[in-house]
Amino acid sequence: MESVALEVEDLVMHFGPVRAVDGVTLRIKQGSVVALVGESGSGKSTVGRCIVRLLEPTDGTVRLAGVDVTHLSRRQLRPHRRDVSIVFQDPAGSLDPRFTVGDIVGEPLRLMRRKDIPAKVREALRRVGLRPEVAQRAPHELSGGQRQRVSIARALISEPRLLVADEPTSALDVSVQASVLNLLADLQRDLGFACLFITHDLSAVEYLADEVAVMYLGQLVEQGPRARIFGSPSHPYTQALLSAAPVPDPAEQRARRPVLLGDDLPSAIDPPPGCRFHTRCPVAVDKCRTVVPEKRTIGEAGHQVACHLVNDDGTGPDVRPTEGVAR
Amino acid sequence: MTVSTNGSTNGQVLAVKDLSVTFRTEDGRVSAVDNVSFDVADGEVLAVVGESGCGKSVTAMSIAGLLPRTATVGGSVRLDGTELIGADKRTLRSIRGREVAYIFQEPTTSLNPVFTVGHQISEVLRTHIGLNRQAAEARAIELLKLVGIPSAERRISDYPHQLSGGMRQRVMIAMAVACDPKVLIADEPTTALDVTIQAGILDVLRGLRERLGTSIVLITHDLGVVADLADRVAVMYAGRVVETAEVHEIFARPQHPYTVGLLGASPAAGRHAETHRLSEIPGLVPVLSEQPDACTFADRCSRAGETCTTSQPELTAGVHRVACWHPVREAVEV
Repeated sequence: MESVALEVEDLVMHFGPVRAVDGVTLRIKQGSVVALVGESGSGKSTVGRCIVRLLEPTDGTVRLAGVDVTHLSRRQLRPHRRDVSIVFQDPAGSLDPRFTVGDIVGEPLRLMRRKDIPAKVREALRRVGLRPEVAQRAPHELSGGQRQRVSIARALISEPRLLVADEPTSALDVSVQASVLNLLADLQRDLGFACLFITHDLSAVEYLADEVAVMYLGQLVEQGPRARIFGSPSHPYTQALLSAAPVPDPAEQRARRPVLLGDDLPSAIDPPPGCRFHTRCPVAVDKCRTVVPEKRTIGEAGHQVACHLVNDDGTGPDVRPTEGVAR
Repeated sequence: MTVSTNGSTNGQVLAVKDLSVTFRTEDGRVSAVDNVSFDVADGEVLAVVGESGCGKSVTAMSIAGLLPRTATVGGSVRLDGTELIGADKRTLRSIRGREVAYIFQEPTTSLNPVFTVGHQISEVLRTHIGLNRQAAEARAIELLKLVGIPSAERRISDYPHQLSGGMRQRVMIAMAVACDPKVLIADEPTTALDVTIQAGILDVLRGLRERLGTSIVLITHDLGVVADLADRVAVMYAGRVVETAEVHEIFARPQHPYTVGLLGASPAAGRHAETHRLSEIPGLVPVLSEQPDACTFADRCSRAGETCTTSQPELTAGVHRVACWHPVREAVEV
């Protein structure tokens, strides 16, 4: 049996009345990159924070390399901390300005009482493309791209099985984004960690991910292999999301017709009954308004969809307008 | 009368010529914009693209005198023949909001939280056009409909916090076009929004241009947005325009090495890290106290030669203009 880095089962995270995450099931094989995509407010970052146990889930289970960490105390968690790391969107806000880069990168090893920390820090910096002298610098002396490299070095120094990358490139300029995406791809290939790549940037997803999970209002609506999701998405929301992201090619972009969903993402305090997407879905029928669609496997293995209108062989409605004349 | 790049001799709404902006800071003077020139034709969408710190927003703000007092502005900005640089307050006041209107990235901070959206749109109409309360309200409803807000008659009594981010940006656009401005300056109008909502806002902007003939200066770093909406593109780097061309042309045949790098840096559809590598631009954007007589991209450029560090390249003449001593003429795979 292949080894599994992460198993999330029926994960629920409520903040008072806000149902941020409401039943998410997800697994990541060792060495695989799964992208978790969705709009702001879909709950994707909350899933990431539950996995690294910055949050204690309301319900469900999180298993890291087979170990149930869902409700472990801080002390109980300590031996498992090295198995999972997180990189955040804003490297300026996640690096302590009072410490040097060397202190920041070496801190996880100090907490594990490891030896030879300076040598390991130098190696970690080299791996992310930074010179050893950077260890003496303070975070504010570095550029945004360099700071994100420091975050990645720190996250990977304990050789985790799983890296949660929460919008790691969203605060960076395009040319810097490219170098961070290239770096993540190289490191993932060389070190073989599993990665949950949380983002709203669909072009980065296509570049980096093996599998894609699409989240809407606290739940997964579709997941499957990258080529399948980008090539023939089945869920109307996935279709809309992919059609809305503009591509950097004027001829192609002008031939496309985005599905306009209207502006109102429903509230996570009182999510719509039945399928949560029915209020914005162009093809919703009566059943969608009352019956919650179960997630089921369709067509090829590993492709799952939660939609009443998708057939078992993966065929179903396509909400995307047929490509029209160029504008 | 200036000759526009599309060959016509009139219909030029906005003409920016040799615009330079420097700021006084604690660390001395910083040059933000250096000798920038461009024209915008009637009904044209010009995209100004570049990364943080390239001067694109400062260029936009200087058009109607929105820069702080620490800025020194030189050069010329003409709107339908009227010079705006150095114009007195009265002239600027009559032009801002009426002839030139702005929309910004963050609609939440641009709307007043204690007034209804109807009040805020009506205020523009009453101040600039002198409509009475009833006429202004009727027009406000029309404007909300124009920007695609459903049940506008009801929404007009909403406060900003009652609207979603996308709706708020639509309200901002309604306010901006209330006086039928000649030029709309949209500074990263969709950057704070999700893609499904962005698609709607881009549709609204396209509609304005088609229905009202509004010229749009679109400031953005998002090449997908440029590909969607722009007629012409000006690429800025370290305060200078380094390349300008018609949109299809610049995506198909970029000539400045920086433009080539920028286009190659965003992942294209169907490309995965296993088989493709994104192009990186090594180094950092310089912070300049004064603009050197050299190409400011030279130290990051793989094509740079000796001339590049000793002499500043000027934009070439013609329709596809590039400021580079060693432009890329061969076909590039981006």
